[in-house]
Amino acid sequence: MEQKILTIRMPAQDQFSIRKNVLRAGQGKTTARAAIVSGIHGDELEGLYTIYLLNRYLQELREKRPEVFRGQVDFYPTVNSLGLGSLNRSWPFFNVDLNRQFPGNREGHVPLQAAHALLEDLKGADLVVDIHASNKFLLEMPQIRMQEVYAPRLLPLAKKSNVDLVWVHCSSSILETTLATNLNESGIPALVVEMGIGQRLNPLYSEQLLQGIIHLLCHLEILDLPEEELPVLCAPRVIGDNEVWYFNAEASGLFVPEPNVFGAWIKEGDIIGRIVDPLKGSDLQVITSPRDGLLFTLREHPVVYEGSLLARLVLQPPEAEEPAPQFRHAADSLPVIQAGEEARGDA
Amino acid sequence: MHEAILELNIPFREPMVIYKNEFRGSGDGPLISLVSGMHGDEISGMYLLSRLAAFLDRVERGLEPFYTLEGTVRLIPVINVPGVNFATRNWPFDGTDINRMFPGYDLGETTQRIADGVLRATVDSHYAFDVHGSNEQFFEIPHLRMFSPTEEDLRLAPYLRCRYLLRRELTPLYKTQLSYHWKESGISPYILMLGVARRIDDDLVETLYQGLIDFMLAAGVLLGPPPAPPLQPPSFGRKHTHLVLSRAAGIFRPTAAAGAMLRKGEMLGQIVNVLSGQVEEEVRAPASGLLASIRSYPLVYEKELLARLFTAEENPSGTADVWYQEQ
Ligand SMILES: [Zn+2]
Repeated sequence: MEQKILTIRMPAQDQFSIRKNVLRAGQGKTTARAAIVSGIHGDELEGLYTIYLLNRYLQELREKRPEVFRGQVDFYPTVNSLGLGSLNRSWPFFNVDLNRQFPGNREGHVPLQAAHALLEDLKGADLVVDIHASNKFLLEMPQIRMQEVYAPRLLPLAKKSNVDLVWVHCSSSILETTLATNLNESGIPALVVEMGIGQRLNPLYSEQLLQGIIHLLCHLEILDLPEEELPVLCAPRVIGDNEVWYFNAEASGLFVPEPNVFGAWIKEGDIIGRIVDPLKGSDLQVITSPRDGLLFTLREHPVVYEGSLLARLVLQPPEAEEPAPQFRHAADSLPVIQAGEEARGDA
Repeated sequence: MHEAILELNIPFREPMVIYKNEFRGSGDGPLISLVSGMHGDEISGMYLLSRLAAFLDRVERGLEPFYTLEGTVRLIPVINVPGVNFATRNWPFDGTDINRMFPGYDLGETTQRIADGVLRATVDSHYAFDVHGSNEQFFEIPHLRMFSPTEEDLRLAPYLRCRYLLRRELTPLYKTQLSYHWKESGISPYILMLGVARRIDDDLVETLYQGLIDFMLAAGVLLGPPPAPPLQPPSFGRKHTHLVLSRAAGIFRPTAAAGAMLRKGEMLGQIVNVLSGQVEEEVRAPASGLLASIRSYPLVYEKELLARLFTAEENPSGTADVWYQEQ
């Protein structure tokens, strides 16, 4: 059942709405309500396809085996539809990041009202999954990110989500105005998924996450599927800030990664890529890994400034007898937003 | 004294340098820092700082015989260097707003390094000014914004000759802005909102130029003839704010000018339907008070901010958020 949670008239005689689709059990009281949100950033498309897959799957299930669909799932695939339609990360015309407008305001410009309407509409949900892609610069393996204050409640859910990594990071006041923080703060568990890259689709990631969401829906008793029908999950690696190694550009130029490093186990000393200078025909920086680990973030956009994030490595768990490694960024107060994600990459 | 506060390598061309121009007085007066050009399209503030630089240069060379510099004045007129050169508000490469990147990080992304560099270069100040303009969509009369001002802040603010003082609360919305971190570091932050983006308002700059000289006299940065008597500006907070939102979408034609004192019910403008030409809405003042700002970009969405009005009486709805995207 399609619904509109906010409709705004625009100057040129047209209008837009924030639309949702509600799938509810055919009869009886619903067990629980889950909400899947995506498209808060207009350049992130991975969540749209995931919602398509889940929507289709649940509709089929409800039709063929109505007895196993017992709850309610709300889909909000294209929250910032103006941004999505014009490839704007932010809300066009107003030029603001919707995920920095929460809790929003009924009396305010349109993005503030959109935030307010979405948050209001999500009240009463038992679980919210907010799916983000990365920005247009960085490719990310499927991961869930959470602030450590909410980890006791979120971690058990995240482990069922079939992502590769769960990144528990230091709590940051900078994220206070995001949807997820506002939901978690008000007692509604909200998982933030980050995967793929802006402006593109990685269909396999959506399929991977779909399996996880099906598990979550069973956990909430929205679905009543027998254990043997459930997809097999991969257990995510749970990481803290001190297990992530950042590669930041030390030069400005053109970044060319080595082939097949993304998603691969990297050995200490391996070359990840180089920053080249076309004018001089020389390499400005050859980036080698100082440690072993899994490369879960890789820059896809080749133009880099000094400081641009090139890659991230999740380190191999240290041997028990080894001294604690000294991490370049371990002590920083801004670990997750370190790479400018506050404004660009991160949820 | 011209000095680089930050140098960054830019791909495929010459490095970018953020400069400060510092004037050190003979006495041990306070240190005042003024920054502008955080947003590349806000020009009036840059021009204001350039006027101050020329004045201080004359003071230093003895060409302003009535003035001597007691303290130190540090001017950082351009923060978003390519933004100014390309006429874009945000950082041109990735579209980030530098005033959402504070406190910054010296090993982080470019705009974080810039934020870190600017904060480090100003954090030893006693007074610090962040000069902005409104964007092109909204005309605002010049004003001062302050976080929970102290008594001393309120003593000095009137010398600036601003039309009003907007008191803000330290909420998470501001945590990534420079002024927030100044306040947290014990500096008195003054946010000057000065005219409309992309152009220079000479009268406004002249007023603020005189105002800043008087401010520096009153603060003991500068010695000289007594400043003009301070103009106590009205001060407003959240509870005295009325936001006027459009009920229709279309072409907005204002009939009132920012700065006017309005009576409740007075016309502010009308919204015309683009297809039919019919007046869809007559926009009226929700209360009596000062029309502080009014929409200048003519096309509006439904429920969009058209005007901001301050009243002496408390706004009973009281929840209006004074925040919006500028600055
Ligand atoms: Zn500004």
